[in-house]
Order: sequence, then C-alpha cells, then structure tokens
Amino acid sequence: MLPSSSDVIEVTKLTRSFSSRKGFLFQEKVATDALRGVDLTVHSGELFGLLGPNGAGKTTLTKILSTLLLPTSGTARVLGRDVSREGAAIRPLIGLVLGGERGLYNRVSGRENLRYFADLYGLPSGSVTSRIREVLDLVGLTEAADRRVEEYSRGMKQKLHLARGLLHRPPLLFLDEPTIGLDPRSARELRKLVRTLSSEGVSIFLTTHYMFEAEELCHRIGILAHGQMVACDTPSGLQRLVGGEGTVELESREFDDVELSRLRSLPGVSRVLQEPLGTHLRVTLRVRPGQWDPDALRGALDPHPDLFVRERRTTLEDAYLDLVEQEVAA
Amino acid sequence: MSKRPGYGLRGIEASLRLSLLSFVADPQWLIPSSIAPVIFALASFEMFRGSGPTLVLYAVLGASTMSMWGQTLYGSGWATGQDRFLGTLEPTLVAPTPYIYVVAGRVIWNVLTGLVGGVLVLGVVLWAYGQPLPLSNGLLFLGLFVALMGSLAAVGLLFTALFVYTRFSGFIQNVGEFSFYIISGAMFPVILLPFWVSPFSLAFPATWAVDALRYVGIPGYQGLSWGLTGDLLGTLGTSLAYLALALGVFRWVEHHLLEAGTASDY
Amino acid sequence: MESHRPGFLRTLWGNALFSPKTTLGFMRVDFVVGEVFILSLTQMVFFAFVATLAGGGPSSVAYVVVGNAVSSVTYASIFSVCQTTDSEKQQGTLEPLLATPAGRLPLYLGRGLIPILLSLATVAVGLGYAVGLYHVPVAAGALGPLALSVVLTAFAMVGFGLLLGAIALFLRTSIILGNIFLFLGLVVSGVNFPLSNLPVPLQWVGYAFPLTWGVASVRATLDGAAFSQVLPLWGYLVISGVASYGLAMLSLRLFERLAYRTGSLVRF
Repeated sequence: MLPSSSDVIEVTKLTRSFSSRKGFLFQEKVATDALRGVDLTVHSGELFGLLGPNGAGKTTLTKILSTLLLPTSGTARVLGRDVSREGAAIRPLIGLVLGGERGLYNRVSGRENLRYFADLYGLPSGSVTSRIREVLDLVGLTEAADRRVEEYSRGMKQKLHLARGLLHRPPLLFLDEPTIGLDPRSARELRKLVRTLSSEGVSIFLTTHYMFEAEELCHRIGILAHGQMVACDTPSGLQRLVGGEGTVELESREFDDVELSRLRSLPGVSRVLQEPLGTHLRVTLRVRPGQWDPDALRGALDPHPDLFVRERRTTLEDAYLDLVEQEVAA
Repeated sequence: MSKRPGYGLRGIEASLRLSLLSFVADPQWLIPSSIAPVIFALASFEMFRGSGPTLVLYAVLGASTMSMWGQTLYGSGWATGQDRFLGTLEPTLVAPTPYIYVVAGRVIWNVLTGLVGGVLVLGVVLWAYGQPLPLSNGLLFLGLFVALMGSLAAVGLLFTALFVYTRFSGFIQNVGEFSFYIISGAMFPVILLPFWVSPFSLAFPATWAVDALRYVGIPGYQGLSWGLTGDLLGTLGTSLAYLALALGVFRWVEHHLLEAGTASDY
Repeated sequence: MESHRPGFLRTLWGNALFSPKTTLGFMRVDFVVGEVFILSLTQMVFFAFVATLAGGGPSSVAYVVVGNAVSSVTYASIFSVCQTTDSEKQQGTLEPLLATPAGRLPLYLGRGLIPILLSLATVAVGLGYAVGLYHVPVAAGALGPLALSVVLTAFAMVGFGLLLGAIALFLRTSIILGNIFLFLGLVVSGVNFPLSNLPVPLQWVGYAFPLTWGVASVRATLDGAAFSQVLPLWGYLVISGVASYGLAMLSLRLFERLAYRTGSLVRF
C-alpha cells in the first residue's frame, strides 16, 4: 500500500559524514561532511531535479533515499517510510538507476540481467517473461536483448539500467545522472522516456549536471552545494531568485571600479558579476525586464572603443552558477 | 507488498542461474580455484604411493574436500569482488531480496563446481595410476558426501559475509584456504595435529564430515573416537551453528555497508 | 617540443616502486604478511603432515619442508608478476601506459624488482620455519652458498613470472596460467618427492622450470655439498633465469604487437 500523503520524499535536517584514513602505519582519521542539514520535499507525481557541482552531495543524498546509505542524523522518509528503519519496506517500491558503465553483469545477456533482477524483486513468476519483453521494448533494446552486455555500447547499457529500474513498476524512480556520457540522440531518447514515465504518474527524483536537461524535464529543481540545499524552486522561480529573467553582458579590455559601482546603482539592475575572459573582462548584469534603461547603462560607462554589449534571457545555468558561487563565497 | 513470500528460494534460484550462465560464458575461471587442491592431492598421492589402498581414499577424499573448499572460498570471494568491481553490489542490495540469499545461491554453485577437482583426482587415481578406490557402502558414502557439501556451504556463507564486509578478501582467502586444509584433516587424520589445534579443528563442520566419510570408506578406521553417529551429530551441529552465525553476521554486515557507504568501493 | 623519451633508469626505478603499489597492493601490510609469513608456513605445514602420514620413504618431513620453503617463492615471483598486467587491464591503465614513449625493457623489468625482494624474503622466512620448527640441519659454512642459491632462485623465478605475464597482454588474463605454474612446481620440481618418481616427459617439464634447480641447489647447500656439486646447479639456475628474462622480453614484444593487432589490451 502506498501512503496517502501527497509527498513521496520528505527530508528534514539530513546530515551525512564520511570518515576515511590517511597514512600507512600511523593512520589519521579524516572526516568529511557530505550533507549538512538538507531539507527537501518531493510531491507525488513530480519530476524533481537535483543539481549541484561535483562533490556537492547529490549521489550521497540519492543513496540515502534509495536505502543504500544510512544518514548520520536527521530524518528521511520515502513513500511514508523511514529510510533508516524501514529500508526493507521501501525497496520493493522504488527503482534505482545509477548512471555509467558499471552495475550490470557483463558476461550474460541483457535479458538475463533483467531476469535475475525480476526474481530479486519478486515479480510474479508468470509475468516475468512478458514484463521483461515490455521494458525491453520500452527502452528500445528488444533486438539486442540476447547479446552479452559486454558487447553493449554505453547508451545501450544506460537503457538496460533504466529497464531494470522499471521492471517492478515502482511508483518512485531515482535516476542518478542517467544521460551522462550518452550521445545526443540517445540522451534525447532517454529524456523522452523519462517524460513519458512522468506523464504516467511515476514520481521521479533525477540528478544531473546538464542544465538544459533539468530545465526541460523537471517540475522543480533543488540546487545542492557543499552539502546544503541552497535553493529549491521551479526553473523560472530559480531564475527570478537570482535577480531577474534578463541578463546583459558587457565585454571590454578594462572596466574600472567606479564604472562597476555606477552599474550596481542603476535602477533595475539586481546583480553585477565580473569574470576575466582571456585579454578581456566580462561584466554580467542580472536585470529586471522593463525596469532597466539601456541608455542609462551606456551612460554609466566611460567611452570604450572595444565595448561589446549583449542582452539575453537568464538561463538556468546562470541561476545555478550564481547560487553555487554565492554559497562558495559564503 | 514489502513482505512478499518467496524471496528466499527465488533469490537462491536466481543466483544459481546467474552463476551457471556466467560460468558457461567463461568457464576458464574454474581452473584457478581447482588447480591448487588438485595439485596438492596429486602431490600427496605420489607421496602416499606404495602405502596401501587406504591412503588412496585419503588422497581422493582430501582432493574433493579441498577442491570444494577452494572453490567455495575463492569462487565466493571472487563473485563478491566482481560485484564490487562491476558495481552490481548496490543494485543487488537495493532489491528487496536479502543479500544472503544471493550469496547462498553462489556458495551452493561453488561447492558443486568444486566437485570437479575431486573428479579429476579420482580420474587420475583410477585411470593413470590404476588404483582401485575402496568403498564398502556406496550409498551411505554418497549421503555423507552431500552432508560434507552442506557443511562446506555453511562455512562458505560465513566467509562470504566477511568478503562483503572487508576489502581484504585476498588475505582471508590466502589464510583461510591452507589453514582449512590443515585443520580439517582433509588429507590426513586430525589426530596428527598438535593438541592445541583440536578446538579449531572440531569447530569446523567439514572435519566431522570427512571423518564420517572415512568411517564408511576405510575398514577398521579409528577417527575422532565418537563413532559415525558422533561424526554425523558433529557435522549437523557445527553446520547449523555456522548457518546461524552467518545469518547474524550478514545482517550486521549489510547494516555496516549502509552505515559506512562502502558498497561501491573496490 | 619539450617532451622526450625518458631514460632507462628513470623508467626502471619509477616502475619498480609505482607499479607494485598500484597493481598489487604491495605496500599493504596484509598483503606482505599474508604472502611472506603465512602462505609459506601453511603450505609447508600441510605437506609436513602428509609426509608424516605417508611414513617415510624419500619424502621425509625434512625433505618436504625444505622443498616447500623454496617453492613458496612462486607466490611473489610468478603469481604477483602475472597479476600486475591483469590489474593494469582491469584498471584501464594498460593502454595509457603503452601509449607513453617509455622504453619497454625498463618498463617491464622494473615490475620485477620489488617481487625479487619479496621472493627473497619469502624463501628466507620459509627456510627459517624449516630450521626453527622442523629442526632441519644446516651444514657448517652453508649460509653463504645458501644465500646465493636463494638470490639466484628469486632472480630466475621473477624472470619466469615476467615471461608468463607477457602473455596477459594478448590473453584475457594470465592469472590462470599463473595459477597453474604457482603450484605446478609441487609436482614437477622435486619439492615433495624426487623428480625421478615422475614419468620422463614430466621430468623434462621439471628441468625447464627454474624452481627445480632452485630447490636442488638449496638442498645441496643446506647439506653442505661440495662446491663442485653445487656449481652446476647454480649454472642451470643462471641459464634458466637468463633464458626466462630473454624469452620474457621477446614475448613482451611479440604479444604487445599481437595485442595492438587484435585489440586485446582492453579485454579482460
């Protein structure tokens, strides 16, 4: 029985520390905080995306939620059950798809891999063959089903991972970087499949490094940096969060501090960022559409013979980088 | 849904089938784990040559026992190592079937494939050396042999729990293989061992099972002095103890893996 | 272009330390303790009991324990050296390694240096067990010749290990070959019973295996045999060792070329 609650994942003040040892004979214990008080809720039927730089804690969080890792403190409930105490009850209800080349038995066929996990998931014996056929068909692996997995391309392996995760029709699916390393066509096919699953009511928890993927697929996105959830909102909400839906980029050999200070004080400009760009400097302004004046902007600058100005929409990547950099600065 | 019956047998069956398929895909891996016991037995047989037919049984029985143990130890260690290397340990742990059933299937498979070593030595003894194998009660011998296999599987289960726990499986294998050959008396009576080794020896189910097999195979055999019934009870009791211990250790190991987050380490 | 082909000694020394650490865990306490102190002991004890049960003949306990003390050299020399190539394949580092301009001779020879030291330690510890636990007598003045026998055995056996390891470039794995030769000496090298017990073809297999000469020379020096008796054994040991290294280098070139042709560098 699924819980009646509309939230499939409820995480409160979740922390997780790892300890490792350094040295040969006289070893030193080193502790690392992978998660530092994460709060998160994922609603039933939602496609939730988790973004974050390498080492931010995405995989740690995914593993805790999929019962593969115990938290150090805090609580995490999946489908109404506590991950620390009710792991065995959660497992039949979730599907886990880990990205990459690993996680499959290479010397047997794709079909045999699925058959093995169908047994471990306790699928009714009479329906194993037909269900395997269904998921193979769904991910487009029917023709290659009887080939050894070691002969599969990376994309085919990724599809097999997904087929395995779907075997027992879980109401909640964890996808950990499912399109990593895939060619554009395979990645697009996989995203289409994820969208279809979501439209069929499957709740999905997706981690990814690709902004466009998150923007295209996810209802809501959480950004994890240094083990903390720095923001959690819809894609457009995140863009607003960093100070506007518009971005203006200025490039020149040099901008002095007085100019930057004048730019910051302009009406409609919420944030001014600067980054070196080879021999030039790029100044990025987050602006609120309709509230900023292009003429005022030009007036705030000294004459620059090489000035380059570009206006564009603020992307999720901009929002992501702003939020992660804010966290780093903090 | 969470307490669906049948996970145990389904899990064991699935694991056995996967082991069989993996073996068929690449059968050469049987050689590394079978070679040591077979060569040990052949060397021992050569040393026993001319010492009478009784010692032929020692060589064949010893080879079978050592081969099954070698295969169990290395096969299970290898499979667990592969699970880590291939990254399949995590998907297996996240499935609702308890991992011990998956391991049980593998251990049973390894014990069965370990028979190959015994058969090889038997073949050499019978055909190459032309030595007859003295057996007074074939049926009882066969039954006891199955008991020996069961006892080895029980110990193998416990050892595999250690392999899942630690990355030092190579060390355990190296120490566990030869120490077992000695303390189980697979190739010689345990009476030859120093007195202080007796507790370790008697704590091993295979010691009792091998002794029982010698009772049946060797006329007038004087083994552990508890007789055939004592040997049978010893085999059963110690095997059950190992099984219970393995169940407990597996629960602890699984919890430890989740706590330490080391299931994906290799 | 700043890059150039690294020198012989630099490659040799770099590999000597780095390769065993990354591929075998040689720097791990459990590995060293298990290989040097435990395996040699348990194998020896096992065959000592078998010899006791067999009750005399040519396979006396003293005969068997000395043979096993020397044969334990195979763990560090054959098995470990074979494993380095297998391990490189599994880690996916073999291709980048062979894509470097480093000379192949120092690259492969370097891998044998630490195994030679471990082999020396293993045999020394094994002989220590034989003398300490089984009271095997050591003839007066035998230590020097004994040490030379052990050094030559370790040197020759590592060469044999490199020869087997070369095949791993082409095969999926050399561990299976390694396993066969790891224990083959127990039957064909006069470790547990004299070579003369075997059928003639198997005796010839034994003569081609450096371990046979290593066991014979250690036995002879322990017994205080005359220099004229030991010298031919050392000679055979040196010849089989040099032949092993030579064949290993030729095989490495051959199998490396074959591996490029078949793409087997990534197959394991």
